[in-house]
Amino acid sequence: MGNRVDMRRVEDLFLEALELPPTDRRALLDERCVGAPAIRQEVESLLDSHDAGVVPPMEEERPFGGYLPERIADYRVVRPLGSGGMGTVLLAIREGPGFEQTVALKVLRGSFVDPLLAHKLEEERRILALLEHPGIARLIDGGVTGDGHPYYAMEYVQGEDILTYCDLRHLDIRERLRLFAEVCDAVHHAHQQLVVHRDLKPSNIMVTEQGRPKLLDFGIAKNLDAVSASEQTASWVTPAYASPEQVAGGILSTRSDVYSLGILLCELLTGARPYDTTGSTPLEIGRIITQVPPARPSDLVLREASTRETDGGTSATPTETARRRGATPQRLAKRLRGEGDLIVLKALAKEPERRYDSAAALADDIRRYLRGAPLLARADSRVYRIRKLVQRHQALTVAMVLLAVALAAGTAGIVWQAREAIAERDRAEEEASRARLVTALMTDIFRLGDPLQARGDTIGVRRILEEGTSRVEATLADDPALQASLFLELGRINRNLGILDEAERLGRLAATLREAHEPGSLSQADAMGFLGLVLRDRGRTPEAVDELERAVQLREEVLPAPDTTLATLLANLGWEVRSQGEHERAGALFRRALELQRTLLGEDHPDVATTLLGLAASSHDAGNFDEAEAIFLNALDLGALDRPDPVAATALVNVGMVRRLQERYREAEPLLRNGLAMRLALFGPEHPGTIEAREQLGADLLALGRYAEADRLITDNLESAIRVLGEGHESTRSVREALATLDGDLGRFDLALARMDSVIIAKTEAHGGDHPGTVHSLNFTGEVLLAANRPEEAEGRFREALAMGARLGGNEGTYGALSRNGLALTALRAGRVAEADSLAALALALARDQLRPDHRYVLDIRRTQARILLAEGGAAEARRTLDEILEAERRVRPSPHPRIGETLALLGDALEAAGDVEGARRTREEARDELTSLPPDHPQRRGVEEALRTPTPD
Amino acid sequence: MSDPEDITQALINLSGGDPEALDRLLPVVYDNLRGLARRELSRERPDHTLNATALVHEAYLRLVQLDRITWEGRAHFFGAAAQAMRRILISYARMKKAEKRGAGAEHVPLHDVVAAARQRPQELLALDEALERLAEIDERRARIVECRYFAGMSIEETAETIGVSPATVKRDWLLARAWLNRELQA
Repeated sequence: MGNRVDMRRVEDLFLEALELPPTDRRALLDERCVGAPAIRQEVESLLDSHDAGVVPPMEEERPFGGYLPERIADYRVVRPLGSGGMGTVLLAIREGPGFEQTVALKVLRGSFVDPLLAHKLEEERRILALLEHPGIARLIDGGVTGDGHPYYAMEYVQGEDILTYCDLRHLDIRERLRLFAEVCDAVHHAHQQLVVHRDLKPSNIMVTEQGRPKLLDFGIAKNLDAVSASEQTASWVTPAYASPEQVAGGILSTRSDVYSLGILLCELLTGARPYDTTGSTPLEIGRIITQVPPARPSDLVLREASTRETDGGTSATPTETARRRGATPQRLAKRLRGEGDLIVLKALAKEPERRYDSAAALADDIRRYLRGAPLLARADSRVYRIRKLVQRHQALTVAMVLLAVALAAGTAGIVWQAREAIAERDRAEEEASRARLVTALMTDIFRLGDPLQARGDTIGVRRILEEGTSRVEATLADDPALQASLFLELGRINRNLGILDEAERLGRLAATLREAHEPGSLSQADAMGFLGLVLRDRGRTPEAVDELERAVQLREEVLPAPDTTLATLLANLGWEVRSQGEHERAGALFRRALELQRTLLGEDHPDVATTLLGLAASSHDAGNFDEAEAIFLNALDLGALDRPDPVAATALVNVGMVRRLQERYREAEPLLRNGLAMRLALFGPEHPGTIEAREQLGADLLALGRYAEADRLITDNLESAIRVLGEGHESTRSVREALATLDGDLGRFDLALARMDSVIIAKTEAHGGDHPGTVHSLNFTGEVLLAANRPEEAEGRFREALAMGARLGGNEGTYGALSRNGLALTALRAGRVAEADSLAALALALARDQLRPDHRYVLDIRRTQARILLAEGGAAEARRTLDEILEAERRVRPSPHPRIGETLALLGDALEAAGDVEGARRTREEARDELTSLPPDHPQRRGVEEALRTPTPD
Repeated sequence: MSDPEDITQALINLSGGDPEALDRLLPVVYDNLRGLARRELSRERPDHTLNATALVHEAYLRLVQLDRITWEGRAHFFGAAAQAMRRILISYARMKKAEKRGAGAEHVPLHDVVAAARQRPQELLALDEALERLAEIDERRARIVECRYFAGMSIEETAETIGVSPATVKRDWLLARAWLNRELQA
């Protein structure tokens, strides 16, 4: 080895590289060793031998003393995945009742004994557990290992880092931008929960086999700091992606992550980072980051490689870099010049306040750039807008795009409209233009069919839709009536495809145009009705109610006599009003709609059934449920169930829902499965209809106690719901609520509470205050707190629920009964038996007033009464009550089921109290068998095991 | 000078600036540690032997009156112990190598020097030589390896013993380890 090598530099670089995960080290060497091969060789040889050889790392430097433990907490360790500055990452499996979950277990290097720090980590973990986004690897669990190392269990993501992914597939700029915008969405979601990543870099951003980005290690960087601070060592961030304020030790904010995203974007687009830090010392790099202006991406792609390219670890030439993006360097530079540069440079501004406000704003501009819409980054100058318009007028004609849209989306109506459009504009040229049109269309469709250009069917359709929409926006401004109809049609297609934000935008455009140009027309009412429907899909209840009310009013004014469209509007309004908790008003709307539909459509029409369903849901009226079910079943052509059909799918899901609401869980299951399968085949996994079907099936499986399958289904569904419907949507809340219920059932009390608390906050926000649904959630948290043996807090929750129920006034609803049931249980725990007794009696009266005698709420209250009887010494009567409950539960729930187990456990207590020792033992053994679907450490299971172990006195 | 009283006094004198105290101290620490090490090295079941850390701390507890000792005295003791441990283990490894035994354990991970002396004496002797070469280039790093590897001392204990900051120890240890391992690969 050369003796002229600067050893000091070698050693510094070696130590710096050691701080990085092994996968990032080569990049660092690439960057620092240009023109210094001897140094590189020296550092590499040291790195190769540093932890393998005669002198191993000492105990304290290796988690678990160098031996892989077989288990850590609840996890079985499979193999190491890697290690780096922070600690060790292991592939591990958590085994629960009937399920296996593969996780990446990160065991941090720092050991900590400081209880304050342990508490802080625990707090952090609760927040991180709420980061539920399809683009973020979920934090599943965390804690401290037996020998004091903090660990995190994260969702295990298989895939490649984003740069490798894009380069290996030669993704073009468009595809890279789309992927990047998804990364921004995920980062923004975390920012909304006030979690900053602080170490965003390619190796933390994986792309799954399905082509979806997933961010790793969110919020962990911060905890790492906390841990390493306790060791008094400096915290570490990857300098190449660090923001100026990070380098300068300033305050980090969400905009620091925006900066790191900017570097990533630059690298994705150009294959190089915007600063040349070759051979620089850390101090120099700090200066460059804080002072030197970044290079323009369009210049970078032409520059001879000095900074690295990602695959192969070698510097790529401009030609090679461009080839990996399906272009030449010149074309790439031209593509990026102007707006591409503008976006990257705005993200990379030295002053945080000059960057994009948020990752969402960055994503927004990326999508505008993709659509060809004006950028937010650009001052909104007139010249710029005009140039934009001119650009958008090129190439294809409006009608051609409409045809493409129509073919791609399979709607014939638009073809006709397109022809009409042409006819109106220039009949003489019709034939000629149609011929040109078809040629151009074919070319375009072939181009989009190119596997490198389009990835998956939906994307192809989406792309044609986007193109078509921007043409309609750009070229039809002088014909507002036609433009509005086309907006509406495009909006409908978007809604059918589940692209709700675009559907809303188009609906609004149509409504605005018609309000301006066709005020007081049926057309205007149609546009408002459509907009109301989309707002309903998007879970924006108050706005939807507003829009639907206006549509109803206008339609009634204009129409000589009510029609079916009016009836549909009334029913849609009914559902929304019901969501707001106004059940009586909803009932009235449904009744009116029903009357019209029965007259105009006949008794057996599916619309009649849907409205009946609404009426039933608003009034707990079992008769309406039965009637709705009968009509739906009638409407189902049972012979046609073997192939997917949208109408059949809706009927299946609705009947399934009816049965589920009637607690006929087992009968609901096959219908919901069938309906879900149809919707999956018809619409794919990312569609509101599919999400609804999964929501129903998930709730059913939960009621059936099939936790493993329910867990998978609901977790997946939550991801889809967030992605398709967004956080604010009612369905997203209810899916999250289902997940909280699952956690509660399985004894994951903290997680259940954290989830449900976030649901409560979201509900309060969505409804602007009190709401029956919120009362329900409060009652649920009370029940979880009781199960977690925190009776004082539980009582607080039940009282809060009771007070909110009272404020809502009127009929207190079933939730009033549940709050009192909860309070009865807390009173019983505190030994106030008489108070418990009267509360339970009142609860039962309220529940019986509204529900069937074997409804689960009624049974819950009666179980409470059995507990009270036991406490009062009335074992015989308790036993009779429990026998009845058991019988009812066994009718609707399959074994094993925890509810049956709970009842049996109580029955065991009752038998023991009555002196039947043998009967108590047998019953408890039965209870134990019923509880097997719960984790072994669940309090209920432990209680029964303990009762079985304790020999009865005598 | 074998009872705790004397050792403690020697350590106190050493801290007080009496250089001859070290000459008196070393043989005692050496003898004691050798006794302890022999006991461990001759055990039938190697998986239950005490490691270097435990040996040194046990010797410390046996030889020193804890209530009279300052941190300086403690540092002197550990410095002496590290040197002693190296000599004990190397001479044991020589003997072991002469017996031509110790094969067949190639794949057992050896994280402790006591186990290495039993099972891979040759390797340990080569390390001893490499450590001599390292001492010529950088004396401090060689001493750090002695403390860390041969006496199983923590970063903080090593820093105290050598009189540098823990950060320096950490850095030097990483570099020395990589350097030694590379030397021994050839």
